[in-house]
Order: sequence, then C-alpha cells, then structure tokens
Amino acid sequence: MSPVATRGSSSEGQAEAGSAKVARGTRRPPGRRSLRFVVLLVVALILCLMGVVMVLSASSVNDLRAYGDAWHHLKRQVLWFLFGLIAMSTMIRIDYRRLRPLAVPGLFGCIVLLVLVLIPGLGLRTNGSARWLDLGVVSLQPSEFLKLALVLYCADLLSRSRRPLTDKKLTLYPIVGLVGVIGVLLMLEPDLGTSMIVGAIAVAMLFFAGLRLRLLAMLVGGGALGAFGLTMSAGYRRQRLLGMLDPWTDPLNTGWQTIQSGVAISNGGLFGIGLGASRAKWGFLPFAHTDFIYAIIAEEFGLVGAGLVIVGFLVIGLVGLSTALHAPDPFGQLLAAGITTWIMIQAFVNIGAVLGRLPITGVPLPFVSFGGSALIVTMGAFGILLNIARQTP
Amino acid sequence: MVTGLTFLLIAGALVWRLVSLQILEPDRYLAHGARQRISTIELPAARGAILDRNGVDLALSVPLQTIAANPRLIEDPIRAARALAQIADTDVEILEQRLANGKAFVYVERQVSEDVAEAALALDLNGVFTIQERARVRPGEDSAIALLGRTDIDDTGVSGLEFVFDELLSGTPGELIVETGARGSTIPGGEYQIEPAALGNDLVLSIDRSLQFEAERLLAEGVEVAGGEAGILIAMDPKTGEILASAAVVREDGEINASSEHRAATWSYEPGSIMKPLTFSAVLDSGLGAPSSVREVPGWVHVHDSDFKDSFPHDEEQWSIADILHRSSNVGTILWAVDLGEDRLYERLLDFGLGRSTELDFPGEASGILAAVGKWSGTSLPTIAIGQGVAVTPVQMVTAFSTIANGGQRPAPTLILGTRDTTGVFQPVDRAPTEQVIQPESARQLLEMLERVVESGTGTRGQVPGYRVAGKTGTAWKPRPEGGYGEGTGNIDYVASFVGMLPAEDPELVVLVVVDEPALSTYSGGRAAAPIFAEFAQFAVRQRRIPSEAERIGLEDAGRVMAATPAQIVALEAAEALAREEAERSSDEVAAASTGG
Repeated sequence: MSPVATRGSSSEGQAEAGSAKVARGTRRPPGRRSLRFVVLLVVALILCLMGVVMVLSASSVNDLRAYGDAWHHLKRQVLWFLFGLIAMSTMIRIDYRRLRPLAVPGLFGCIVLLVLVLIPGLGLRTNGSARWLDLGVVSLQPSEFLKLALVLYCADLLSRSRRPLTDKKLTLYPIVGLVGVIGVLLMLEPDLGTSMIVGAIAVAMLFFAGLRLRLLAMLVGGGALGAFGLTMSAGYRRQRLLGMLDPWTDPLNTGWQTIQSGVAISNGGLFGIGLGASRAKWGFLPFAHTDFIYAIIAEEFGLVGAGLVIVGFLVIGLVGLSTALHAPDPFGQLLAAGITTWIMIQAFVNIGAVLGRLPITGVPLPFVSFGGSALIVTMGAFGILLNIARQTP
Repeated sequence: MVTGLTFLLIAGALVWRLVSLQILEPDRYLAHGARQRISTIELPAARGAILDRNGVDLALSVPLQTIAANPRLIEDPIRAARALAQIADTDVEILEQRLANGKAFVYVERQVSEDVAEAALALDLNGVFTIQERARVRPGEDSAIALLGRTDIDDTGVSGLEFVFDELLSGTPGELIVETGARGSTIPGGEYQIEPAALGNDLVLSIDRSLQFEAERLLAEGVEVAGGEAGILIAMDPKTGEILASAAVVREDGEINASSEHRAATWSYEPGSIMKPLTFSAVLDSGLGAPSSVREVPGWVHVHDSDFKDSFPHDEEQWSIADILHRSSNVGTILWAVDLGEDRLYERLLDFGLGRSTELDFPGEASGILAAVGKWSGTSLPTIAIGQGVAVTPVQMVTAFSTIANGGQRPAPTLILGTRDTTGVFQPVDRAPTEQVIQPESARQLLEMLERVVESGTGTRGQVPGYRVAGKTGTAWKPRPEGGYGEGTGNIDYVASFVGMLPAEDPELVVLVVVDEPALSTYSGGRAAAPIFAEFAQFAVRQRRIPSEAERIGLEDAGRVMAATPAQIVALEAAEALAREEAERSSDEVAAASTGG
C-alpha cells in the first residue's frame, strides 16, 4: 500500500486534514487511483463520449431542418460535457466528507428552486410541463440537482448516529416527509418520472441504512400505489401506460413512441446498421437525442452495442456498490450507494421505457442523453463517487 | 449483495428484451418500419407510337408541360388564381377553389405549351410547379382517326386500336423505390431502387398513310359527286389480307366528313349484285357449270311466291355464266342458285366468312346477317344469291373478293403488321391461317369473267389506264326501317358498290367502294362507286409500285424483277432473321443432344 492510500483510508479527521492539504498544496485529489476508481472513471467517460457522438447522430438531421445547423445540439452537448468534466474533477478533488455541511442547505435550496419553477415567468414550460428555470442565457433543471441533494441529505441524516433508524422521528419521518413534499412539487410540474426516481432513491437509502424490511415494504407499497393512482388519474399518463402494454392498438397516437422505438431497435439487429445510418431519427422517433437515445444506439450498433451499454451501467452499478461496501465511513457508504443506485435506477427506467417494458416518463439516460443540467449534475455526483472510490482499499 | 443481484437481474431482463427485439422476433417492427419509410413512386411510361406500314407516324406521344400546384404551400390562393388564370386561360373561380382546397396536389392546367408553362413558373409563386406529361399527337390529324381511335388525357386508349392495343402501347410504368423520412425527405444511403419505365411498344399497321389519306380525300369527293349520304373505301392486299387503307365518310348537316367510326368493320349493309361472283364460285366448284355453260334466261323467274326480274327488260336469252355476270342478270344467277341449292350456297358464304365478325376483331365490329340455312324461307335462296336479304360488312366483302383474287385462298384480314419494341426490333404478329375456299381454277375463271365486267360490262367506269382490272358492281335496295325496300311507294334507297381487283392477271390490290344512298341520277354501283375506285387505284398503283401491264411484260421479257418496297424489305429481313435464329437454335439443340449423348 502506498502512503497516500494509508492516509486516505485512515481516520476521518486525518483524511480531512490530508485532503485539505492536498487540495491546497499539490491540488492532487485525495486517496489513490484504486482499481474501482479507474474502472468507474473509464466506463463513465466512455458512456459520456458515446453520448456526445450519439447526440450528434440522433439530432443532426432534425437540427439541419429546424435550426439550419446540423451541429446545434452537438455544440451544446460538448459544452455541457466540458462543464461536466469540470464538475467531476472538482468533486474528485474535494473530499466527500466536506460536502456534509451542504446536505441540509442543498436540499432546501433545491426545494426552493422547485417552487420557483412553478412560478410562471420564471419556469420554462416545454412539452407541457414546467421543469426548467429560465436564467436568461441558460435554463436550469432543478429536479436534477435535487436528486443529488437528496442523496447527500439522506446519507448525512442516516449516518449521524450509530443506530440511525431507532429514532423514527429523526430519521424516517423527515425523509418520508421531505420526499412527500418534493413529490408534490414534482407532480405540479408535472414530472412523474423524477418523482418515482426520487422515491426510489429515498427507499434505497433507507434500505442501505438498515430500515426494517416490513417498514420498507410498506413504503414501497405506498409509493407504488401512489404512483399507480397518479398514473391512472391523468389521461395522458394512463394512455402512455396502456400504450406501453399494447402499443399496436393505437400505433399513431399512444403507441407511437413505443412502436417507433421498437422499429429502431429491431432495425439494428445483431451488429447495427452503422453509425449515422439510423432511420428512426428521420422524424419518426421523437426525442431521439434525449429520452430515446438508447433506441438510436440499438439501431446503429445493434445488440452488441446496446448490450455493451447495459454492461457498462452494470459495471458502474457493481463497482459502485463495491465502493459503498468498502467506503471508509457510514456517510461515505451511504453516499456511494445512493449515487450508484440513483444512476442505476435512472438508467434502468430509461432503457426499460425505450424497450417498451416501462412507461415512458421522460427520464434521460445518465451520461448519454442530451441535457445540460442532467449531464453536469450526474458527472458531478459521479465525481463524488469517484472521490469515495479513491479512498477505498 | 441483494442490490447487486437486483442490478444483475434487471440488466439480464433488459438484455433479454434486446435479444427478443433484435434477434428473435423483430419482424413485426421491421415490417412496420419498412412500411412507413419505403415509398414507391410510379414513373409513367411513354406511350408507343402507331406507325403505318412504312414506319411513318400515325399517332405518337409528345412531352407536354402541365402546370400543377401544392395548395398547402400557396400563400395567397386568390392572388395566385388570378395570376395563373390569365396565363393558362382558365376560369378564375374554379382555380381559386382548387388552390384553396388544402390538398397536397392539384392540376392548374394540363398539357400546355412550353411558353405557357414557362410564364407560369416565371410568376415565382410558392407551391406552383410544372410536371411533364405526354399528349397524343396525330400528324395526319383526323386521318384514320376511326381506325386509330383516341386516348384520354391520361394517355389511356379509349377507342379504336388505341383501345385494343392499350396494354402494348402503354408499356410498363417504372417504379422508384425510395426510403423517406417522416417528413418526406429522402434518406441518404437508404433504400433506393429505380426500375425505369419500360416505354410502350410501337404498333405497326398495315395501313399506308398516303393511301389512307388519298382514300379519304377521294371518297369524300366521290360521295359528294354521287350525292351520297355516306361512303366507305377499303383497300386490301389480297395476298396477305393486309388492309392498306380504310376510309369512311358520312354526311353531317349537308357536309361530308370523316366518320368517327371504323365503318368498314362496324357497318353492315345488303350488298346486292356484288354477291353474284360469290354465288357462282360455288356453282363452278360444284361442277354444275363452267364459265361457258349456257342456259336459257327468261325475262323473269318465279321462285316460291315471288317473281324476280332483271334491272333491264329482255326476252328469253341464251347466256353463259360469263354473260350473266357481265350483264349482272338476277334471273340467270337465281336459276343457277336454284340448281346449286340452299345448303351449298350457305356453306360457301360461311366459308367466305360472312355472318360472323372477321379475324380483324375490331371493337364494335359487326358480323353482318346470314340466317342459318334451316331458317331460310322459300325466297331466301334467290334473294341471298343476288345479295339481298343478307347483310355483310365491307371488311367481309373485300376479304371475299381477295379470296377470288388470291387463287381461292382466303387471307385473314388484318390491320396489324407487327410491333416494334423500344430497341427498334420489329416483331411480326402471328397471322391467322389462310383457307382454301375456292378451287384455284374456279378463282381464275371468276377473275377472267370479272375482267370482262370492267372491260365492257356494268363496271366500265372502274377502268384504270394501263392495267387490267377485274371488278363487280353492286346496286342494292336498302331495307327501310319500317320493313321492306319501299318498292311499292317507289321510294327506294340504294347502296351502290364496286369492287375492283388489279392487275387482273395476278391481283395485288383489291378495293371495295360503297356509296350509301347515292342520288337517284347516279344510284348504280357502276356510276356512284366505280369512278372513286378508278381514281384511287390510279394513285395506289403508283404508291404501291404495282407495275402496269406493259411494264410487267417488259420486265419479264428482260428477266428483271421489281424492286421491293421498304416494307417488303423489312418483312423479308425479319423473316430471314427469324429463320436464322431458328436454324441456330436447332443446331444448338443438335449440339446439346450430341454432347448429352
């Protein structure tokens, strides 16, 4: 073991001091280049670069028509990616323990932003829902920041005492309550996909913290019931669900996205029809560069390419969990597990919808889909995970 | 551990779904995708031409511009309609409605001149464009229109030969298979197959355009002179049955115009005396008599319940068959016909092809009227023998005389020499077989007797200087709509006809001229129809390069042959090529057989 590793994985105080010194002095990130760190970094960067290429492939046809510039989305995605890299390398350099004080203000700040989104004039309404905050030059999607803030908050809260869940008033209830408030705010946008992911992240964090399975099951059951009720309450969501179950009953309306996605995927076959050759992007598949970018990947690179993307996420998931298991302290453990689970849930929800196995909720594929807030936040969060991974043996 | 397993399971399920969609059962989605992307655009095929026997265009398709519009792209339909209406000379209001109807395609004005199309484009209106269409053009204008028929504005044959041979002429439309995006743009690198339109084949007619034109002109003049109501002229090459010209005129509002009907095939009439040679062909073949066989011909004859007499009064005469034909004696013909009997006359007329439509198979072709022999009345035999109580079409009649002219071999009448494909290769049509109807000797004897008719009989006006002509006149009573022939009231209408064959020693041209309801001063076939024949024949012998008698004798004396016409050369070359091909094929077969053995 190198001295750096010893220093990084010793006591909390030492590590903090060490990382502080490193940050001030050599600007080297804390810990060492562990295998977990390298694997996670490489896989995430590959996915990001694939995203940049696929955003170009999926959007250029439509961009040329709509903006007169085939590179419209690519330019932006490259910019977001660069910002994402800055966010990620910054988070790698900041010892994750120093984020702890930000947990509570971060979450409440995000909740305030969520409220602001709902105010007409501040919130930007696109595709029927107000999810963006208009900042003039750029627009911001607070729900993306919220996911990170929630993970941070839960990790902080649940790792404060040695037996975190004995006092429900201090642990379970605040989390359930906050998630409830967040859920209501998100449903006012409305954004069912993000609320479900937020709920799932909270449940997962409680699970990792050791909440009794009976309570957990009640939470999951309640959440599922709520989601189902919300789904059936709004006409368009019910139609989307039915559209997923049998897209062929109305191929031109509710089944359109699922069918076009299926067409694209089937078109790919084993090895795909080649980069840039997608047919679905010629106006057939809506949101080809965002929510349905995975369908374009499957079309252009076939089962091999699409399968490798799943394998990539699986590697992130397993190595992320391994990082959590080997994290130096409970906060780190919960933080790593939370970030990993968040990315995994989001990836599975996205891919599941593209494959016609989950309802379409407008959740982007982490690292890959076009989108500034999502990419920067995801990469930033991943930087935290990488920071923890550097501090595992 | 649990979470890791969950990740694995979910990932596995997603991969399995991928496998199922991409490898195991992609068909439904693939088919749906292909259906929405692949569009097939029809490429119209240019219609083939109709050519005469010498390769001269009778009808051909020429490209013309059509002004069309996409109303969805038109910004101001009212303004656009006004501007376009001025240029295309169309109704503003109709155009306005069309341009505002919200469809993706409307015609503004079809098949306009290049100038008009350019002027429309010069307006620079959004959504207005031109497309190329093809219009049918007949260089001879209305010449042979009844035969050729017409096409509608979409270039589909609707009448005449254009209709009959529509499939051959219209060719096969091509296909452009192209992969397009949801907004209709072509996907680069996508599916792109072009199956070019196969041009329509050309149809080569047996008609000679010059003969046709002259036939129409002379017929119109002749019918005018004869004061007739209508007229038909049909010229046939007796050796092949090829129709060289087929003209029909009718009087409309006092003016003689080309008929829109191919009346040589669609009109039937009672032929009258022109039938007599047909009757005598059976008499000669049956051995009942020879041209020189003489019998007593009284002034009238009583058959069943009717008396028949000749068109001129005479005492009882001793006339040979040749004399009877020379004078066109009804009484003499009926006497021989009675000897011949109903069955043999009926059989013979059937053999000539009367009573049924000919091999021409022209749309609307009439079959004439020839009652089955079992249904004949007592007077059927005498009347049919002299060409009354029986109806024929001009095509049937000219074919019957071609049989006499062709040594008794009945040629199948035809209008079509063959087809010419897009590479210019001529493919002759299959000819219906000829039939031996008259014994060659009888046919020769009939020709000789009919030559005397033109020399000094009823048909002297059908003489053609320099040529020996055989012919026969016909002056038939026309049946009245109320029944009978109007003989009681003295209100008789006539159908005058003349058939001429030349040169009589070996006819190369048979022409039938029919004048319907000539004026009473010229009602006979000899007066009304024969002059038209003579004028036409004088033109035709030059056009067809039929040597005059003197020329023929001179050529034969010098041991030279006539130069062939271009059409003959084409036919000869085609026949030779066919023979060569067959020889090669059979030699190939022999070779194959020997190697196989």
